[in-house]
Amino acid sequence: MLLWLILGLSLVVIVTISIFFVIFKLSKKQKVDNRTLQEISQDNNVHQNQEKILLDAIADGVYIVDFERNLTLLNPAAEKMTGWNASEVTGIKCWSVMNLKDQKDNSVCQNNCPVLDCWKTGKYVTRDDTCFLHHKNKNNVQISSSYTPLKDNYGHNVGAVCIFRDETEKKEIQRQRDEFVSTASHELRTPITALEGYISIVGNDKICQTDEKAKEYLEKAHNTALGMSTLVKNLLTVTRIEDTKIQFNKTAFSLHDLVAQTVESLQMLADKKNLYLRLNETESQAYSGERAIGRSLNVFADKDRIQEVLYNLIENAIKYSDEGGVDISISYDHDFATVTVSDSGIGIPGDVQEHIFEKFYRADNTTTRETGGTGLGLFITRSIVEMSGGKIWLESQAGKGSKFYFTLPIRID
Amino acid sequence: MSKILLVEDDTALRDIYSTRFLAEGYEVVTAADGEQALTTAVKEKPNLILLDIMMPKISGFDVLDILRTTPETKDSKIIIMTALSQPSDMSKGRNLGADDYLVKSQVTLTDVVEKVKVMLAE
Repeated sequence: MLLWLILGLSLVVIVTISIFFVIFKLSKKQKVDNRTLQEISQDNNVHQNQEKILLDAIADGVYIVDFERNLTLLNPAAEKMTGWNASEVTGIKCWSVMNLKDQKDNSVCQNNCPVLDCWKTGKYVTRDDTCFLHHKNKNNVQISSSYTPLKDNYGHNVGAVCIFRDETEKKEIQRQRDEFVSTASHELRTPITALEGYISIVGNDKICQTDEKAKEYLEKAHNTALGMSTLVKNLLTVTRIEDTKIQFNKTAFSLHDLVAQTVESLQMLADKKNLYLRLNETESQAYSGERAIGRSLNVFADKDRIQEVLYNLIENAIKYSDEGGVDISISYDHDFATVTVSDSGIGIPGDVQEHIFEKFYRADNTTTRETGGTGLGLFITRSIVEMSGGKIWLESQAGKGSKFYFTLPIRID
Repeated sequence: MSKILLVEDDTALRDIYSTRFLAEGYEVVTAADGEQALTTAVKEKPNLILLDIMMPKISGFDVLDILRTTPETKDSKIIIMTALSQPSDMSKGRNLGADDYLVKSQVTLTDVVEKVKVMLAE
């Protein structure tokens, strides 16, 4: 009887302990589950928080549009730069809020929508800092921007993200710098003119007696003064180009005659180096046809500026050639005249070609210092050609000479 | 002998141009501003006037206008010599009656002398 009692009790104890054990294990499992769920939802919050922290922290403006170009998100920087609260404009078409315009007050949204552009190309597109967006309360804000398409898993465009930056301060600094260059250049003009004048007086036998040696050095001094005068003139032209204040006086004139005139004025320079200067002209069928019935073929541009372009290109060709010479040819098609200036000089390597039309770019400091380059000539040349409605480009290989091409619109009378 | 009136506010340039023209055999009188230019022009009756535009007190354009409407000076040869290179300034000069318009940064001293010689020979 006692044995049964002990057995029974032991059973009860074992069962109780097992139950407690099981309960303990179960609750532990629940705790794990609970914690996992908590962790999971915490994870989500952290994710969303991280995104929000990121967008809040970005100093550039960010906005997102859906596939119908409705705004779906503005980050705080974008709110600040546009003057709108995200809540005010979510769901509104981006163009009516941003209202992008260019320097001439034409609508970029209407004529050249960057979102449509990036959807078409499938890659990001940019708009440079000549764009203005509409601020809710004040003047337009000058910005630079980039637009990237957002795609779903099938590669369809579902929206776009735009990142933009306020360029007002940068532009103000640029404007002040240009104003400084302009003022300094103006101030330099009079003393340089005086310098040139005094030097030429000293070398003038009617006024001063100087020996041959002195005359030789005075000529060099005079040329240097003239070079300075050209530099100052170029600096002023550059600042006027930047300011888009440059005025073009466009007329219809004979390109052939202008080229012939320019070639004549540079003949002496070419002769000094024993280089030839040749002008060729080819005609297209259309042109021959026009000429045959007595019409003259002209180009429509600012004659003085185009002369500057021709002078610059041909003078460069002469400066950078040591043998052979320079060929200039003009060809016409239905809409454009193309001028080619071809030299047998040192050529231009590929990496230099990329930058050669940039302001102040000098291919090789030693060479250009010797030839008197300032790095402005080609920048001005390109600006003039492009503002005349033409294009300019080059073909060259180091050691094999260079060919510069530019086009101008034709005007047939 | 031809008489040239040189109107130029910058002292160095006035000095240089008059030295050069004297060496070429011309008689030279000068004025440093618009007012002086007008009184000197009436008094000296020059054959040719070299006229600067950017000057204190009154601008060369105003001087030109007055010169062309004053009986004593309306027939003088007048060449504008200025730093202003914009086509709009050039047309203004011509419309007001200048016989020629030279931009300082585009011409050397020798060029100016040549132009003067040609104009006085006419």
